[in-house]
Amino acid sequence: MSEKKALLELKNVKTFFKVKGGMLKAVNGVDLTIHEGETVGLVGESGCGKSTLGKTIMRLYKPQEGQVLFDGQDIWQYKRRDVFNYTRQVQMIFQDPYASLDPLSVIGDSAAEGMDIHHLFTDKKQRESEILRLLNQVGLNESHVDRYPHEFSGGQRQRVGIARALAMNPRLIVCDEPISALDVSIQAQVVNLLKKLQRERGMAYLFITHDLSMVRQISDRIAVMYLGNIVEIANSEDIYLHNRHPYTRALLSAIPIADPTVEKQRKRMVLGGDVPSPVNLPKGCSFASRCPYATEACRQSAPALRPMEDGHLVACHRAEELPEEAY
Amino acid sequence: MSDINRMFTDEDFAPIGGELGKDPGSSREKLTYWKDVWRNFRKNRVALVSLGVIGLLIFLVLFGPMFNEYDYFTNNYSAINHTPNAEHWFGTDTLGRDLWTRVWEGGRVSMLIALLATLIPEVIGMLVGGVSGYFGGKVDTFIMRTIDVLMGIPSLIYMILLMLVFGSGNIVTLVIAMSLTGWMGSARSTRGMILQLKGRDFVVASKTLGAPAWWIIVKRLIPNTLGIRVVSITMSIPSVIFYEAFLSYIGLGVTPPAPSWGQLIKEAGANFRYYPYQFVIPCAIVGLTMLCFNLVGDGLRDALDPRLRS
Amino acid sequence: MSEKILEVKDLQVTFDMYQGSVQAVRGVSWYLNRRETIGIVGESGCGKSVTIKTAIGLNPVKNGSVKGGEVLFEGRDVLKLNEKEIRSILGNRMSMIFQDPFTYLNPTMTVGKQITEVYRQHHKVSQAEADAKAIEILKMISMPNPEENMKRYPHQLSGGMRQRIMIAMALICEPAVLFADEPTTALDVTIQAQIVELMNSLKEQLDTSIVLITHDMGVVAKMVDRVYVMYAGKIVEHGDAETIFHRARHPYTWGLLESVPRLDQKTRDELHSIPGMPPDLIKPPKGCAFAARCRYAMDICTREEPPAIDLDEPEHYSACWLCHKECIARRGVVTREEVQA
Repeated sequence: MSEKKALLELKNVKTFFKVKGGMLKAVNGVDLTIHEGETVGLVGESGCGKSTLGKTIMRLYKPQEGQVLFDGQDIWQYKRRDVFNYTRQVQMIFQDPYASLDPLSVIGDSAAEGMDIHHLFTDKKQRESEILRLLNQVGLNESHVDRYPHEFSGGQRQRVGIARALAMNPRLIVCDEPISALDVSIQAQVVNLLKKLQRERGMAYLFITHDLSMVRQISDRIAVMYLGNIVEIANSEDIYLHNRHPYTRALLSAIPIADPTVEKQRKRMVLGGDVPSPVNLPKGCSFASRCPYATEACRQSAPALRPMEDGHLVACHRAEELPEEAY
Repeated sequence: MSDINRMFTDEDFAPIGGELGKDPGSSREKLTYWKDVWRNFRKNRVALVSLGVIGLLIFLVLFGPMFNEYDYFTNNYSAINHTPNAEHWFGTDTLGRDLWTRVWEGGRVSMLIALLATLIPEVIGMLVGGVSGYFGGKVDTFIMRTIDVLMGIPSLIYMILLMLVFGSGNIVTLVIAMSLTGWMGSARSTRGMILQLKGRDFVVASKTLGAPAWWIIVKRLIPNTLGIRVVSITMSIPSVIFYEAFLSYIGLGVTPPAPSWGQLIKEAGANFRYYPYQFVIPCAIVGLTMLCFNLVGDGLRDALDPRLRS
Repeated sequence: MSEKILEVKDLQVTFDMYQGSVQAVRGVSWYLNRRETIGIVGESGCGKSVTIKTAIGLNPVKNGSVKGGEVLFEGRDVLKLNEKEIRSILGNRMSMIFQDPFTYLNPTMTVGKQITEVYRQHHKVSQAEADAKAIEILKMISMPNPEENMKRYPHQLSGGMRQRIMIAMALICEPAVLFADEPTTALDVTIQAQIVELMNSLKEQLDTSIVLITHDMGVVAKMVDRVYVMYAGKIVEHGDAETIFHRARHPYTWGLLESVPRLDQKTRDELHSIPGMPPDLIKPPKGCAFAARCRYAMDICTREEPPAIDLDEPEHYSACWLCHKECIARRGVVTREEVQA
């Protein structure tokens, strides 16, 4: 892992929003490194700040504190020219395929938007053939080029979104819940497509999702987020087999397995309590209010991410004491 | 339905191979956004007829004066205050001028003013509203407060001031005056729509692709507000026509002998008791025009509303 | 033999669009026993939602019309009832919970008022009595501080809480049948688990049967006794949950099961996916609707619609030519293991 070159580094990133009654701490001090060509899964429930983190990387939100380094350079220190260049190297795929395409533009133009903004092709013929090549790569064909988005299914639209990102030949794609609005059989198609494209082109993915079963199929490493903080990062399989954070465990145990026989025998870790408000975070560990293992110490001081074995990081005071069980 | 127990052949159960999941191609008719709007609009009979009437009115305004040999300014004292007849279809006025010619000639002026005085402020309003909504923050606050202040002053006051500065009576002054007061409403409502659209993913997508502000405003935001703006343009044409008539009536409009609908009504108003047709005909035509534009606008709004579509 | 409380027979629904009529439901039959949970499983557009909206007497969509079939509930055909009779059943004997509770709750009314309103529509009781009943039901669904929460407005509650309020509204009259249209899809996994447990326990306590509509095979595995798999407006396979999950015989069911990666299985290089997409139901294909996406498609599949074939197990039907005895005689039994390999 360490021999790979770091592509994007987040250092103590804090993205807050002003709301009534204070600051909403959407991202509250995140450290994360994405290496060249790797896929990092970012998992958490709604409101945990995972989308905000993705948009912070996209330069849509400016963090209050901390740095976002791309190739070792702070993206908020960029000159105008560098920003434009950055928008070429880092792309985003959106959650809702019905909202992410302009209803008034034909598919070909939507896919080519980045190329047009960056003037990649001045020759009309070249542009056209590039569009076709891209659409073919994502499994669409020339009969689709001049059709409007409303004639397409969710899965097809998501493919157009992928083509739009690919057109720029990016080094990092932030995938913000790219499959959660799709039907199950189509989800698998899109995940397979993303994997295929990565094999061919070698870009890195930040795969943001709430779906722990799908993210395993595509990620090299997985980071679990809770209330603005990363609580656990590990190699993908370790998250499933050797997880050390009670929240990770609760998340995994909540996912039903598509087999009634297995389901009936599973032990379940049901979380009580409510998620604290991200405006008034508690003093100690933010998960303490729902954690079955919480002690007084957890309520007093917030745990930092600390290394376990093999690049595995956990933010839990009692990580060593948790019983060894899968989920 | 098939009989499960009939004879089957080996061929029946031969695998077919070939590419799986090929797109069968849509059997549905291809519809662009505006085609779809037109299809919905067509279903509304009243609006469709109104559109036809508007077409007819525009035709008459353009070519009506050519149907007879009279012009709109020559006085003819041998034919004063004739009621409508075979010679003068709409009769003549107190100076013996042919009213058919004058009504359509006046329509030219009124419609031209209506068109310019809706389009120009609309474009200004859309750009200002687009900028205000897109950039938000201080720019937005500044523009919106300015509009609030300007809107607080009755538009008639500007109008009179401008007339005094530019001199009253010509079309250009009227259009400028109306444009200067008309853009604010459109800026406000465009801004509202832009604020909604700004958060939509396809706009955010353009932003992440490095699109400059003008690109997002001109290519993404404004086209997507256009549908609703078209409705408001159609709906504001009648009020501009009426406003022009009103200004002419109080003496701030185009100067005689050039007719406009307002001018005609004003001239006829004095003799209303003796020659009612001189008053009623232009009034009826103004009323008809306003009604038709309103009905078309109504139909458009329904056709554009996604909730009412099928 | 358990008692059937709801039966849908050969239901056909179409809706008219400008481009033609969409045959959304093309002859669907199912039944529900007392105290049972059935699952109607399929992807969006397969007609599962239209089926149940029709079954509870709601006109499913604008321009929609029922072309045939009947829905038998408590000895009456729901499709033949007038609006008043339907109102007396809805929310009372049959009720429904939806995917997105927020859009179905009135934002200007306290949730307590909304719950009691349902109750008072069907029972002649005072507000105080209705309040008491509402608190009772909120306690049953383990809502914390029911008295306090009843005074709140929908936007003051979290997504999971709102779904609980929807469930309370649906259950306050103790209906015989509860329809749940993707009740957990919009919720986070940890909340989803709570809601599923809740619905399972309520079924026992209130003597209610549940019709669950979902595309999530995991939720089906946790809740359902019998499964109907729907594709392109038809039921393609039916059996009890154990049979469907372990001995399914329809390639579409295999596809659905395989395309969801299972937590208890290792990562695969390539996920199993069903190629292509469902057919346009304006012009349904001539033979089997799934043939164009099916790797086992045979000549007959493109020509002739497969009948529902009764398999050896109790109540296991599959509408697939692969299950026909003539086909088995020639090709042998094709099983899901082949897909996995």
